[in-house]
Amino acid sequence: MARRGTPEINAGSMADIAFLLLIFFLVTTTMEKESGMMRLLPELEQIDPEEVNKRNVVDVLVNDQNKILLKGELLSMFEVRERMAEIILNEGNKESWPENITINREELAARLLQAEETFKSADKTNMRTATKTLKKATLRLKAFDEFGNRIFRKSKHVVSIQSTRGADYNTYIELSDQILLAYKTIRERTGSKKWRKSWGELNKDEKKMLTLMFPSNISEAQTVQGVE
Amino acid sequence: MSKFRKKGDKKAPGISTASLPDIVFILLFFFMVATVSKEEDLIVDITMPNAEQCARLEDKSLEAYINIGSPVQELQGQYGLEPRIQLNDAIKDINHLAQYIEEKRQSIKQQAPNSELGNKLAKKMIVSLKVDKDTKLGTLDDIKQELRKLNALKVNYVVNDVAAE
Repeated sequence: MARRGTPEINAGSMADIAFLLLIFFLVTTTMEKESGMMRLLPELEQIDPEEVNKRNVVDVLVNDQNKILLKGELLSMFEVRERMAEIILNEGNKESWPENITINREELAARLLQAEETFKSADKTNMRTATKTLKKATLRLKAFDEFGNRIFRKSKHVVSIQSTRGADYNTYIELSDQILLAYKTIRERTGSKKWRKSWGELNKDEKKMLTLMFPSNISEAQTVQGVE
Repeated sequence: MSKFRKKGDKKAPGISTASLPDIVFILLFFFMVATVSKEEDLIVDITMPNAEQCARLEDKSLEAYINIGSPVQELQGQYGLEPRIQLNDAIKDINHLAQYIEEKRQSIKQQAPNSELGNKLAKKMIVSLKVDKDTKLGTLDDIKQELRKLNALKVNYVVNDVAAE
């Protein structure tokens, strides 16, 4: 009798316990992933408000009837994408559209050198930013060497979305979406011209290069009241 | 003495359930990893607008939520039909926003291991705006101006991702 070992613990209820936990997690959690558009609001008191030339401001106005006015031109939602892409690129160098500045290689090379310096002297806290900056600088120079200064130019545009108080939020988001799609169009076209590949076939670096060449610049200016 | 004894009238053995807990545990771990906990129940009706060009947010701990929409039916008698702001499970006025943002900042700071990192993270706070698509931009603009005053400049408009890829 005394030689009997400890009896085994019955694990039959283990499944029940696990089920209970499972059901708890099923009920209290959600699968849905939220996606959104990130924006940076302008600071309340800008220390030195940047002087922007009028031709460089691409203003998009939305009124109470949700009509869209792009650089003084009445457009429907579907036309915005193409028109925006044209204006941002400004290939014909129109007077009233945003100007493009030619970049020289030395400038990019100097920036890369500077990024390398900061990277070398970076400590734990700013390592991540330094790595990012270095990667960006490298890709910019690479993009310049690939595309040359005729395609890779610095656009000075600022897209400014303004609206009346009575305009719908839906229109605003749709419009922002179309404007971002305009950038995508530009990137895709440039990419496919260069490499004969669609956006999905490009590798990570190529995508990054195109994004660096045509960065989006949308300003969250306040809505205005005075637009008729 | 035959090697192959006839099984005859022996009963079929029961299916072992010993691996059932393992299977359920695997399911449990899957759900623990793949899902996130619900933040709050919405008491305003929100149909989010659709957009293609959007990105998923990585760090939920840095987010402050502001929901804007008409109150749900049960609360319409109390709050009316006009779009209202929901903060932390309750419908609030715009002047409560400052307090809410400050509370959120404090809670981010408390979660950080040291105060220096806490301050850094608090600056990275993102205000997630979940807005009903029929809301007028005037309402949204009031909130944006308030956020600017509070120096909470990073905003995120939550949308339905309809990217066709």
